[in-house]
Amino acid sequence: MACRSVSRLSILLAAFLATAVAQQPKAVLPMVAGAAVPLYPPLARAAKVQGVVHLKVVTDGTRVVTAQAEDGNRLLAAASEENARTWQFSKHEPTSFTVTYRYRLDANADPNNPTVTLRFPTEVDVSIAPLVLNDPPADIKK
Amino acid sequence: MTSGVHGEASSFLRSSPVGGATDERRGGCGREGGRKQFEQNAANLKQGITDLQKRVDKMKNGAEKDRLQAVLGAMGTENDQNNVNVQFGPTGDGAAAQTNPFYNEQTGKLGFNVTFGPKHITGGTNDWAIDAAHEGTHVGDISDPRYANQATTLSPFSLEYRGYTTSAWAASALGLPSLSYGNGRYQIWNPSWGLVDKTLTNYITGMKDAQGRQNHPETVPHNPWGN
Repeated sequence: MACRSVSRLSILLAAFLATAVAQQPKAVLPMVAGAAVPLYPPLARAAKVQGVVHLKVVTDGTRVVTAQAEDGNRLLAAASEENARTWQFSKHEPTSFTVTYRYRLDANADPNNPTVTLRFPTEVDVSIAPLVLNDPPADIKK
Repeated sequence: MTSGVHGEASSFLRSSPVGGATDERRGGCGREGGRKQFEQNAANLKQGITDLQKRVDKMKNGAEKDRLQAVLGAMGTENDQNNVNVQFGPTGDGAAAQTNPFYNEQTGKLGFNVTFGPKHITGGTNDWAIDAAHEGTHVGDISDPRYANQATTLSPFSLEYRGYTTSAWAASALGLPSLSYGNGRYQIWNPSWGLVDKTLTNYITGMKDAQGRQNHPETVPHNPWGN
């Protein structure tokens, strides 16, 4: 009897541990409570620069302590860092995580206002129409 | 200003331009016809700019003179290493000229490829001068620290509004009777009315890309920087 109880207990314990391991979150990401809207940097747009920036963000429990681009074009990296520094969070354990910023020039996008998709706190997509400076001929007679 | 074709940094004063320095009538690299055409285009551009500069020097002080001096300064002079590369060749979309800013990741500096489409510049050296002033406006505006700032940057509409304002003032300085675009449909300037804001607005907002999408929707104020 006692032996059967121990066995049952072992099975329950093993099942609990297995479930706990399976449900362990990959990482606890903080909740974003406020942020400036990321925009397409004007010089990058003019120079037809687009691409991806991976940003390492370190928080102190409510705010961003450091936001450091790990790759990407300098113009885009600077814009990403500047934007991430505006993020604020609900109170959490200080942590760090990576944010992926994607900047895309899309001829179908609005020429004046970007389309911005935020999947806080790990993905930011910004797209805008490319800047075109093609100037048609004047009607000038010699 | 450096001149060449498609990234070939050659001088248009150089006695033997690099092989790629040709225009849209180009044959093979270094062919005599291409070189001659290149030199003719370069001469037309230089003459146009020189004529305009002389006229500007004689203008009374004011916004128009300041703008024209600024845009001619932005285009620079030959071989001044100002990161403005002047090229002659196909522009796409039938444009007389186009400005393509580029960013040098190594130096962290902005540069400009300004391409003139000689096939579409048919009005003599005055036409070249007006196009140079227009493209110089784009170079100057995008180089201005206000452009890089999201709060003070210019919309595509405002960039062109300022560009065509300069074109009009250049036409005025050169003593032309009027300045029109679109086969005469859009007379944006004449000596009696000055700059015709509504016509210019209609002209710019009517611009479309190759797929017919409007790419310069109106923004107000039209010229948020003033001069």
